[in-house]
Amino acid sequence: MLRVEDVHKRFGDTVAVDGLSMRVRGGECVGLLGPNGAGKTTTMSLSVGVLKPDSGRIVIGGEGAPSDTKSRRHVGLCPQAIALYERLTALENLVFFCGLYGVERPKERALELLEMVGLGDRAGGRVGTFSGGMQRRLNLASALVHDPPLVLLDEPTAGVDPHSRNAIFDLVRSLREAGKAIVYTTHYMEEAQRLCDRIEIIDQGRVLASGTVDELIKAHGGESVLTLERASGVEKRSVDDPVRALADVPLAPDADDPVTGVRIDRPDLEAVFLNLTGRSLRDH
Amino acid sequence: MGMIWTLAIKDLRLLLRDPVGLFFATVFPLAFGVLFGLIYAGGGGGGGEIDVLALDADGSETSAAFLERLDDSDAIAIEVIENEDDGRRRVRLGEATAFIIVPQGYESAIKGVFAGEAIPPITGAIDPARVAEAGVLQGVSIAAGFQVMTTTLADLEVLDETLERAQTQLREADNLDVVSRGLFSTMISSGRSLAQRAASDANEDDGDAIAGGLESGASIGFGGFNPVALELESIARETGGKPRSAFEITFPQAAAWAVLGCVAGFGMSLVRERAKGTMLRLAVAPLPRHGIVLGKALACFLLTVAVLVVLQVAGAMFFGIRVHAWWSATAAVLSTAFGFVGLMMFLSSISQTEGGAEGFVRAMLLVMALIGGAGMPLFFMPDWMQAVSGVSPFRWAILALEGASFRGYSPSEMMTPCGVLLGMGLVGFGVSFFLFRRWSVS
Repeated sequence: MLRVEDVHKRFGDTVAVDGLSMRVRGGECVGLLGPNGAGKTTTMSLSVGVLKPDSGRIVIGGEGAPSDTKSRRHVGLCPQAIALYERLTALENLVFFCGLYGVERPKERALELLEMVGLGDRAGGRVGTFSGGMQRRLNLASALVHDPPLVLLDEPTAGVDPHSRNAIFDLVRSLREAGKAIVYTTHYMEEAQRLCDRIEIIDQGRVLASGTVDELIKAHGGESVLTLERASGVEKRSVDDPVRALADVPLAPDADDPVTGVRIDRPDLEAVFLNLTGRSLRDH
Repeated sequence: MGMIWTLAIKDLRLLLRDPVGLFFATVFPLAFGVLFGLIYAGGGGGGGEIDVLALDADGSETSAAFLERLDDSDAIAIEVIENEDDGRRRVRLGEATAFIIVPQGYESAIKGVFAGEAIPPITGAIDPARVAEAGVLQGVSIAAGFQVMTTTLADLEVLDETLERAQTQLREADNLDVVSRGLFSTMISSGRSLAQRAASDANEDDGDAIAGGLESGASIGFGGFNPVALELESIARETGGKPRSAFEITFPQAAAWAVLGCVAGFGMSLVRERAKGTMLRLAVAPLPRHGIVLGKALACFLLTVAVLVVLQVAGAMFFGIRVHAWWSATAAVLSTAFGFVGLMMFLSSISQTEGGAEGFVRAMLLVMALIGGAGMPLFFMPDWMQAVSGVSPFRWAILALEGASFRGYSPSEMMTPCGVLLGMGLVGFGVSFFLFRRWSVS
């Protein structure tokens, strides 16, 4: 559904995207994981045609360029900022966006989406009076008015409460199950791990690694750490398979220097990023 | 076109929900036009008198007293003239607001009022635009008529004479039945006895009691009787391209403030869309780049036209502002709206940030409005200032609106201000399309 091929984009001396390539298919959720300034939002802007790449190619739905009017009907963008009209009601916002995409029976579609994001009872409320979480959910609904096959979600959970975050997660899962191609940018590794089939780890405009969570961890996460707490002190072992390693440890209480506690630390995406860049995701 | 219309409706809806923006686009200009119109006209302090020319065709004491009563009022200044044609001419030239003729037989009719004599109407002419003044003249005339009549009839000899005439008419009337005739006769006889008795008493106290009672007016109980019928024909004023009221100056200025309000409101909305991120949503929607600009422009155009039409209609209906011709008024409104929409697009497209745009747009518009004659009328400005004002679209908008009003411009004369406004609009549109395209794909 989306093909990005060796795309470069600079802003003056700053390299925003440096030879980025990726593919997203229908029914697949691909995460762009990287710190702030990694080039995630620029990649999104390039994918919807708001920015023009200096070189490389982006193809939507087969052969269309992102700037083509026809291609835009295939894309739904949920921007990082809350892009809604605060003086309009939730329903009026969605009906307006339906109008831009020529959606038939816009009011019915708007009400359907409001129900989908749990705002059915706030259809007549002005957006300016909504909480941050409600605005985020409506922001996401606005990207779906025309039922696009490709959905680009740019940090859709930034600054939301746990209830709204879970609602957004549920919606993303249902979109994926409905066969939508989803690009999900985030700098929260937990979100990427929970939602994404594949993850592109990017930093300074480049894809550092790509694959499923397990593949990435296996390839770049390093060994697990098995921590054994004994009466004499704490012992840490780096092992490939901590369960097998644990099987070799005598755990009987009457053993010499018995084990009083065990902890297994498996590598995660944070470790993957640390190993790839030498920096932590949270440092940014 | 459907998507552009969708964008325009959204923008109009947003503006209608912005009380401050709506105030400056609608209420403030109207208040400006009315308030300054009253101030320039001297009506604000309530000290202005209506100049009325009067021809006393009756030449009686009663008619003179009537005119004196009118002149004594705070609202009217009477100038007695000798020639009817002179009166009409001076109203036509705008040297006086109205002209009245107190008809021959006025005094006789007043004295014979109880004998059934009809009071002849006071005729004359007035500028049809002076609706408010006509109302004041009517009211003051009725009050003066009552006062004159009561004063006249307070003369007991006149009253007795009037009642005697009524009694004579009663005797001569052959269409009354016996009972009615008897009742009327008794009533008039009683009235005469009362008047004669009062006359003898008046030798002792000058009849103050009766006269005072009659003069009080309220105790007379005239019911719906009207002692003065004012019949004024309309005489259109020939102003020779000059305003005939301050409102004809202040309403075009008010229109300039109205378009300023519209332009500032929509100019800010375009920049605000960028700052809030909604512009990004519009940019990714399947509509041409220029569609976003056109949607905003259409909303601004529609609101500007609506506000200008309301001001034109209100001015014509309630403040006597002339509309020279509907084609010229239409041309002035449409070219003004187009020119300022282009200006709005230009100003908003060169503003990079919301904060910068806020200050820049308002400052630019305010300076242009002031040098363009929206604050001080152009003819009050020194020559050099009037020359400088040519760079301001507000000057051309005011000129176009005045041209469609008291200046009475011909089609060729309207070409200049309308052409300048259309040209400014086209330049504004062109620049904004170019800059907006650069912004959205850079």
